[in-house]
Amino acid sequence: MGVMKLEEFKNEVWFCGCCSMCRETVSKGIADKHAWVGVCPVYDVLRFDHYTSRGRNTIAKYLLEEVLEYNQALAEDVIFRCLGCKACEQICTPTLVPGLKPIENMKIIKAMREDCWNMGLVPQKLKEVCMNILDPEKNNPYGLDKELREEWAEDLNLPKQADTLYFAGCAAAYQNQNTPEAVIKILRKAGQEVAYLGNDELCCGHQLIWTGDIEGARKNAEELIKRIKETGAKKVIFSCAGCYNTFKNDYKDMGISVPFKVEHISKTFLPILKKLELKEQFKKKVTYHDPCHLGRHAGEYKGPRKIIRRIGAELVEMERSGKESWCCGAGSGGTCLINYPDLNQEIRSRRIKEAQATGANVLITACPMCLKNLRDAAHENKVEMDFYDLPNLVAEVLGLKSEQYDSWKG
Amino acid sequence: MTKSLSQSDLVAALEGIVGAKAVDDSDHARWTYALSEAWSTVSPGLTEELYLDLGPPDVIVKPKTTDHVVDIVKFANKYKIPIIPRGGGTGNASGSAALTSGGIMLDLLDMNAFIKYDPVSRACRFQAGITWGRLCYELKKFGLTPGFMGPHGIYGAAVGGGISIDSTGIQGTKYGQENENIQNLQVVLPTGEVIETGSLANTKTDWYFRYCNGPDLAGLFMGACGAFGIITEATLRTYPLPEYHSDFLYLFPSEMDQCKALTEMDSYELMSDYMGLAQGFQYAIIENVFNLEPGKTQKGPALIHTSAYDEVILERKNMMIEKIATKYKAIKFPGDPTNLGFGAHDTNEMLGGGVCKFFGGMLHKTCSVLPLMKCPEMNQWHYQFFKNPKILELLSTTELGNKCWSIQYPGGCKHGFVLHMSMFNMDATTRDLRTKAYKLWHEILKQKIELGTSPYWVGKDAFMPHLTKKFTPQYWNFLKTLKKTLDPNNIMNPGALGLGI
Repeated sequence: MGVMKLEEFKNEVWFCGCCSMCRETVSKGIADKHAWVGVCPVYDVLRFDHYTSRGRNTIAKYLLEEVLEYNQALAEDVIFRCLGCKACEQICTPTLVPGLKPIENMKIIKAMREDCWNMGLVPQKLKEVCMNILDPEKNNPYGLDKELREEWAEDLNLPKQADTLYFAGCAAAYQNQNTPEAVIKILRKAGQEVAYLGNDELCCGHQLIWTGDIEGARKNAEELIKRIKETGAKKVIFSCAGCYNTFKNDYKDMGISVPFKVEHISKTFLPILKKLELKEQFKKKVTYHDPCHLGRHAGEYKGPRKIIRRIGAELVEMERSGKESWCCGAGSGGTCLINYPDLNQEIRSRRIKEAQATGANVLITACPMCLKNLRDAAHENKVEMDFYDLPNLVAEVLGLKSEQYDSWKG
Repeated sequence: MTKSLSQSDLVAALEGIVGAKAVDDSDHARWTYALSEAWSTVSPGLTEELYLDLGPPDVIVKPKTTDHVVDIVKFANKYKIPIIPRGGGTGNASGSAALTSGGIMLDLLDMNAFIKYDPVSRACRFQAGITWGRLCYELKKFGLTPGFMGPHGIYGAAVGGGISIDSTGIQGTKYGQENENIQNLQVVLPTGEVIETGSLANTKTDWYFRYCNGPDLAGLFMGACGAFGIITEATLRTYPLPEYHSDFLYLFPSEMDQCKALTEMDSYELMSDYMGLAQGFQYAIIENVFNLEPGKTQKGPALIHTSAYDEVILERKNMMIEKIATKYKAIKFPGDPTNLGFGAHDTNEMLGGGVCKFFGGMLHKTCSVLPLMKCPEMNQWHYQFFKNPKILELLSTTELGNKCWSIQYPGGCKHGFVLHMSMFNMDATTRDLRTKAYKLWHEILKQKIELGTSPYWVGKDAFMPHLTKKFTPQYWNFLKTLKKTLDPNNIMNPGALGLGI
C-alpha cells in the first residue's frame, strides 16, 4: 500500500485530546430540561473505549506511528462499526468555545475506511453492496434488477425533463414505493411538475462513500450528475436524507461540483402546505426522529417540525432530539444494519423505547432507512405505533392517501 | 503478565468471572487503553522518552459489580498479575496506564449505577465508575447537584477516577473539591477483602457520614491513584440546585489587583466559581467574542460565577462583587460571559479544555495547586521562561496567526486555593516534535515543584517523577510501608505514586 489516506488527516487526529466528551456526557448542560446522557450509540451497547471517536483517534495515532497496522480484525471490529451518526462531532469539546470547530471525526473514519478498501479489508457483505451499486445491470445496493427502479412511477407519466427533478433514491424506489408516489402527488396537487430519471437514476453512492470505495463513488457520482444535467434541471429535490446529504455535502468533500440546487422535501413542502387547504388536521400526538444525515450532517432540523406543527399534530420531542438525536442504528449507508445486525437491533430497540416513552402514538421521520429500521424495532419490541415518512404524512392530510398507504403504518 | 499463566488462560479465567462480552485482549483494544490522558504529552511513539515504561495492558476487563472486582483481585493475587484500575481515562498523569509489564486493565465505567439518594443524610450513593455527566443527570431528577461538578470540562470523566486523583474542578470554590464532599467509600483491598469507611463501617448504621468510627480511612484511598485498593462505591454530599445565577467578566489593571480582588470575593463566599486569566489565547477569544480591539485585554481578566437560592440574595452578592471589583479599579466587560464557554452552573466550563483546537497541535497543561495570592509570582517565572526565543519557536501557531502560551487559574478549590495551569501547544504530528514537547512539559513540571507548588496530578508520569524526590524521607518511607503492608504482592497499579517499582 502507498500513502495512507489517514495521513491527510493527521492534524485532525492529533488535535483530538481524548477528553471523553464523545463517549458519554450530558448534552446542553444539566440546567437544560432536555439534558441527556450518552453520545455514541455503539459505545452505549459495546462499552469499550475503542468504539468511541476518542478510541478510534487513539488507534489512528498508532496507525500513523506504525505501532499498529490495518488488519481484518481492526476493520471488522472497530472501523466499520462506527454508525457515522456524527453525534461525537456535535459534542466535541472545541464546539463549546465560540468560533472553534470540532475534531472532524467523520472525515477521519471515512479516511480509515478508504484505507481499508484500498487494502482489501472491507467486510464481505459491505463489499457486495458496493459491487451491486456499480453493476450496470443493477445500480442499487440491494442487487435488484435495474428495471424495477421506476416501477413505482409507472402510472404517473413523469417527464424526463423539467426545471426541477425529483431524485427518489434506491431505498424509496425499491423498498418504500409509496413515499415517492406521495411526493409526486403532493407536488402535482400544488401544480408543480417534476422530472424523474426513471431507470436512468443511479444510486447516489452513499454506501460507496461510507464503505471507502471513493474512486467507485467518484465515477458513479460523475455519471449521475451528467445524467441529471442532461435533464436541464436547475433544482433537484430529495425525500431521502442520505441521498440529500450525499449531494449536498459528500460530493463537495470529494471535490465534485454539483451544478444545480439541492433541496430536501421538508423545505419544498412547507410553502405548499401554507397554500393548500388541508383535508383534515392530523390531530394526533406524534414524535419526530431526526435522521442523522438530514439533521447533524445536513443541518436540517426545523423544516420537518414546521410541517408537523402545520398539519395540526401535537409534537412531543424524545429526550434526545434535534442535534442530540440518537441514531436509529442503521448506520451511514446501512453499514451497521447490513454487517452488524445484533448491534443494530440493540440500538434501534433503545431508540424505539425512547419514542414510546413520549406517549406519542405516531412516529414520523424523513429517511426511508430510519423508517424501516424503527418500524422493525417496534415490531420486535411490541411497541404499538404508526409510522410515517414525511411525504406520506403530508399526502394524508391533503387527502391524497390511497389504499396501499395503510401499509406504511407498520 | 506472569509467566505462569498463558494469555488464553488469563482471558478464559476473566471471562469466567465477568462473561466473554466484558473481556477484550485484541491488539487494537490493548493499545487504545495504553493511553490514559487528555491533552497531555504522553503519546504513541514516545515510549523510550517516558519517565516510566508505559505500555499496553494484557487484557481489558469491564466488571459490573463489586463481586466481580473481588474475584478479579483474588485471581490476580494468586498469579501476581498487576491490576490497573481505570475510570474515564481522562487524567493527565498516566495514572490509569499500564507499565510495559502489562497486567489486567479494569475499565470501571460499567460500574455506573446510581444506587440511591438518601434524604436523611442528604447524600447519594453510586458505583464509582459513574461519570460526572450521569451523576449530575440523576441528581437533577431530585432537584439536586453534587455542588462540585467534576473536573474542568469533562463530564465523561468517572467520579471514582476523580476520587483517586483528588480532583479539583467546577464550583470547587463554593462547594470544595470532590473529596471534601465524600462521606463513605467502599474499597476492594489488594487481597480481595471489601471494606466500608466512615459510618458504614458500623453494620448497624444506614446513614452516611465520614468522620466517625476511628480514623478517616476514606482519606487513605483518596488521591492514592489505586495504589492501595480499588474504590467500587462512593457516597457524596448533595446540594439543592441554585435557581439564580450571575456571570461577570472583569478586567483588572494588574494581576496582583486581580488576585487580591478574587481573594476578597472568595473570603466573603461570594463566588461559586471563577477563573483568573494571566496570559495567552483566552484574551484573543474574549476579543473575538466581544468584538474588541486586539490587545485590549492584555491585563488581568477574571471570569466570575455566582449563584443563590433567592433572587434578593443574588442581587446582594452581585452588588458586593461589583463593589470589590470597583475597589480594585476593574472594568466590567459588557455582554454575556457564558458566550465564552464559561457558565459553571449549566455548561461545564470549557474555556480551558475547549481551546485545544484553537491553538493547533497538542495541548500540554501543567496543573498545580497554589494559593491564589501566589499566582502573580508563579506567573513571573513563566514570563521569563517563555521569553526564550528557542522555546517560543517550538510552539504552534494559533488560528489567529500568532504563537502563544497561556496561564489561567480556575478556582477549583475552597479557601483561596486555585489550580494554576500553564499551557502551551505544539505540533504533534512528528515524533521529533512530540519528544521536544514532552521534554519541555517536564521542564515546566519540574520547575513548578522547585518553585513550591503542590502538584495536582498524581499518577505515574507528569509531576510524580520529580515530586517523589522532594518528599521528606519519613513521608516517603511511610508511603512505601503502607504499600507493602496493604499490597504485599504489589499488584495494585504498580508505578502509581511512584510506588511498587
